Amino acid sequence: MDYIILSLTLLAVGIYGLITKRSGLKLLISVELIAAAACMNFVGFAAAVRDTLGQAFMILALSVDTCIAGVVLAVLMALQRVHGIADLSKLPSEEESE
Amino acid sequence: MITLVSDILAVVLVVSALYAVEHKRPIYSVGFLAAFFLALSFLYVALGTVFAAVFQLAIGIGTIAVLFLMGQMFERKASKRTSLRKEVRALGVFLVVALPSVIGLGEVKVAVSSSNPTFPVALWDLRALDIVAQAVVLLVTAIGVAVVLSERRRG
Repeated sequence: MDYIILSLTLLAVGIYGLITKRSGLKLLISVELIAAAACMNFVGFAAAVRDTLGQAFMILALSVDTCIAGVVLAVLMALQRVHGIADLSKLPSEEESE
Repeated sequence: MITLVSDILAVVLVVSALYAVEHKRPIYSVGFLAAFFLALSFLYVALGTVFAAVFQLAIGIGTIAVLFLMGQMFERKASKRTSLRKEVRALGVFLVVALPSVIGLGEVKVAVSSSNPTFPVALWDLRALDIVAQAVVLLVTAIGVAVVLSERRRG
């Protein structure tokens, strides 16, 4: 039960970061926090029922999360190079860029 | 004892998560995220889920290494060239850290097959130490590059 509360707290921190921050790096960190909270649920329940399947799911989820982080980082790097900005709210809209 | 450690780690987790989101400088945010991943890995060890802890540590270190470089990229300051001496010193530190993981781990032996291995068994017999050592080497390399870039920007 304690781990579920901790996981929910981390989820709340991640959602707070997603809502309030505009920097691409901060958004990515918030997504990482949310993914870590989800993984903690897998591991917590796996430890509670003494089954290793939860750890396997956690490893799979962590791998997919890392791939997502790689794609997002590539997009951020492209943004930084093309537009010279890290703040996603300052991105030009589609009409402005045309 | 384990409950106390878990409680302390939980507090560290929440505080480092908040600082990672709230800190103004990107490089410090990434540093707090590294502390978050480390505490999470130790929490998994306290839970008794060894493989989850090792994978969290290894993958977390890889993510942090890349994020460190991105954080350096997002910090905007004037750039200036670093001296050759500093770069050679950074390379030396990297080699010193990297050598033990390449030559000092002994012969390969995969013999233990247990459904619920202990932490030392996973670390030494199931070669989890290799993964962690390689991840540490990657992290040190990334931190070294970040330090060199930071020195270059600071002048």
